[in-house]
Amino acid sequence: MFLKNLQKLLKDNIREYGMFIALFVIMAIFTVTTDGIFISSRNISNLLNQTGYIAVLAVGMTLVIVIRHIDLSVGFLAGFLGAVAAIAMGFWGLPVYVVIPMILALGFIAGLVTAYPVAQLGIPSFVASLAGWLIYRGLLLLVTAATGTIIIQNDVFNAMGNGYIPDINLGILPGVHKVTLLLGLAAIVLSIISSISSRKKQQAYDFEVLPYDMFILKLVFTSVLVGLITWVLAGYNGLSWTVVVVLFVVGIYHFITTQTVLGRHIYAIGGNPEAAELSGVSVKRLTFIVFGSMGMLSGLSGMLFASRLQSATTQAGTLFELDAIAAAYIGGVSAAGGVGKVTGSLVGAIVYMSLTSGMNLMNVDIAYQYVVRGAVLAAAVIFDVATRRTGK
Amino acid sequence: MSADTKALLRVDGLSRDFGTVRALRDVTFSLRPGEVLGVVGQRGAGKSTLFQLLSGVHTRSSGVITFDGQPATFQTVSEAESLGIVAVHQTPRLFDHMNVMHNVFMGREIRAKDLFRFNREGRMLEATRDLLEAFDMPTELAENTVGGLSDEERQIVALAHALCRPCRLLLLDDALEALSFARQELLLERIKALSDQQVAVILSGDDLKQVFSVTHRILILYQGRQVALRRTDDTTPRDIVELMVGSNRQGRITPVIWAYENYHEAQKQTEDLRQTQRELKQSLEEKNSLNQRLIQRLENQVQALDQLNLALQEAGRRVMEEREAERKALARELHDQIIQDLLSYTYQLEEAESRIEDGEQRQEITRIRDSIRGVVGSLRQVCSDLRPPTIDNHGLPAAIRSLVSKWTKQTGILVELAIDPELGRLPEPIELSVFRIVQEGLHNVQKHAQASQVTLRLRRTPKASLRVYLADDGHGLDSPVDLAALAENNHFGLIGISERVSLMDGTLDFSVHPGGGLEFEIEVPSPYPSIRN
Repeated sequence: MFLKNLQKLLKDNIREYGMFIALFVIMAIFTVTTDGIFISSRNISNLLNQTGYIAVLAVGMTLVIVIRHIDLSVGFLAGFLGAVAAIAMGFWGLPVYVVIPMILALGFIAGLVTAYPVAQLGIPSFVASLAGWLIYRGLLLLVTAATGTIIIQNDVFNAMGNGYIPDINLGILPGVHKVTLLLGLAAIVLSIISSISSRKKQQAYDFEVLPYDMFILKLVFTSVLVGLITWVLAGYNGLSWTVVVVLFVVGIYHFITTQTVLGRHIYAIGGNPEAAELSGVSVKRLTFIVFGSMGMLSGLSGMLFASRLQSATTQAGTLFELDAIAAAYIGGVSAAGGVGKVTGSLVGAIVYMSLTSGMNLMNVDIAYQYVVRGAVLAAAVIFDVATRRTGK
Repeated sequence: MSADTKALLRVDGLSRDFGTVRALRDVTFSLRPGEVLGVVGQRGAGKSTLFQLLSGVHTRSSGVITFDGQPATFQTVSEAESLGIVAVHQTPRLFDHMNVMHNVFMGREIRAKDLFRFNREGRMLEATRDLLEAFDMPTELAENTVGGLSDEERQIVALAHALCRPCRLLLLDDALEALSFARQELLLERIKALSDQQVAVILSGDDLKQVFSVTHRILILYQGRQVALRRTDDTTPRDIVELMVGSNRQGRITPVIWAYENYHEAQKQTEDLRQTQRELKQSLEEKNSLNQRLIQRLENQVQALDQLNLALQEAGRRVMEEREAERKALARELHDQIIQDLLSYTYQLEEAESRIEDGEQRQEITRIRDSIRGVVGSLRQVCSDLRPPTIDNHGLPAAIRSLVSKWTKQTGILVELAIDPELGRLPEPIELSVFRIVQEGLHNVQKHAQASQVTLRLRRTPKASLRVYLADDGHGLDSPVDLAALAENNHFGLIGISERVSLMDGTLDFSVHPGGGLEFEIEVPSPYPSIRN
């Protein structure tokens, strides 16, 4: 019975779990080939910080691809907005607490501008965002033309990309980040409580729920996973602010896509735009919202990147958009639209950056790295199409 | 008109062009709350265009739509829906990868002041189950994905989508067609109930009976134009069809009228037929299983009969063998005891004769002795008839030869005899049977055929251990040969033959020769290896 349930669960969610399996396989391979350096606390912490600005973009890109569009402008938009943030702090002297919301708002507006030709005029998003790609690249060169690389000296801003959350001294476990451990523990407890309560509510309304053994298995699995990650991170400097930001963004977007009507409508548009229109879902409005959020996340990504480098460069944001698209596809977003999870894209981004990080540790030539990344992307998309065909 | 003052919807000069095609021209009508308007027309008459304009799918090219006293200039479906106008379109457009519940409430979700979705979705799930139940659908459907549903189920989902929230104007574009007859009735009931709740309904359909059964007024479109707007009570299906077809020529209208009037009936009949078919299929299955049982029983009985037959044959064979054995014993008794005794008496008489001088007495004794000899002779004949003396010692060929030569002598009929020298010896019962058969056959020829020539052949064949062929040139039998008729006339000869043949598991072929005369051919299979000389 247990095995049967497990089989059914795996079969029904093969696309979702396939990615986790791929991540484990990749991590295992790199752990072996690098003699354990890959799985070390320091490397994992670094890896997650590197993933940050791509993960944020991939989350936004997930929604864009879900509604059957694409946004190529996000890379240079991020670079441009990062430069704007540097200028705002360095030259205009604006405080960081003003700059961050301002950049997010600018990003949102930029997204709406990209969305206008797509939603209102029916221009293919590929073309519209390609225009944006050129424009933002030009603007980035323009704002950095006078000074070249702009150094950022604001500590609060730089902490976003390099800092870690503070620790408290409890007098036990020296060398381990206690706050991180406590937060991880809290996360596990909270997730268990909320899972149980939502299961109860679902049962009260006669929803189909997972069999009890599978439910327990899933809880144990996620708890162990979160626990492991927390332990590994706590072994170095604890949670970085980047990870906090990413988790915050993913959490909000996960909530919106799974729990709200807005999220349901976004998937509806991706699944069948015509039906969505006839059902009274405003495709235009949602297209604006999705592109707007993409622009806002581009601003966030740009700030994370600038903060990590502690400067705004003329090349910032190059190819970010393609990395984000690749991460989203690896994360199980369907090219046909209507299918894909933001958590999947987060895992996709981690897989993508793991490949880079692991191969760098192995001293693999950059030429081969591109080939391997391409092969993984192709495999992910082929897997997606194949499982869709065998499914309903 | 007083109706106009409290009209829910007023449409004035509504037109729509698609490129150069004028899909709809100058449609004007008004609708009170609770009024049901039927829209009829042929394919391409502009029905769907009207529905699309009213539901916000397309925008009008010209004309004025006033809803609830306000000019309604909706550009999108959501604008129309915010006014309380919902539509079910001709072909349901659904989200195949979402479940029924999410399809039903798509764009019309129940909002709840709850951070997580369960309370909200729980209420939607309950409502979905209620709607499914109202259309006599299984409630488990609510959580199935729409991708795998049938056309009818999809149509129900589309209807449920329109009915899940209260509305003020319901537009049903050919919504009945994909439904089964029973569900059409449910929907018509529902329309009446909505009308009682002051919801205005506009519906189109091909089935005039249904249109007449629920509507208050009927709008007739012909090639994009509004040709008439009639009160349902003041018109007849025939008028409507004339207007729809745009002609009152009998020849054009009658078939269409017929079609429209019978559509309802035909659909009902189709469904009845389908039901009957299902029942038939079921009863056929039952019958099949019954048949199979009967066949099984029949087979059992046939088997039992076969066994019985075999036993009977065995018994017959045994009777025959016993009879032969008895005859053999009898013949031996006669030969060894009585004939020997008689012979010894003749010797004694001979002795007595030589001692007697008296001529008269001597003559008397000689006469007695001669008659005893005569008795011995006829007893010998009886013996040889009872038991062919040669068969035990010299085998079947010798016995037959002796029989034939005796018979020829007796009857004067020529016999052309051919016996395969390879015949060899056969088991005793078979040799005896064959001998008896030949005997009986010859006897028949002598008795009935008035033949002058008989052919008798005994051969070995690869298939059969023995083939006997007996033919005569007499007058034969009335063909075809009917054993039952023969038996009734006390002609047991052929029946005896056939019995003996069947006891040997052999085959018997009668045929009446075209030139007269009967021929029969017997094949005795070779169950035992033949005993060679």
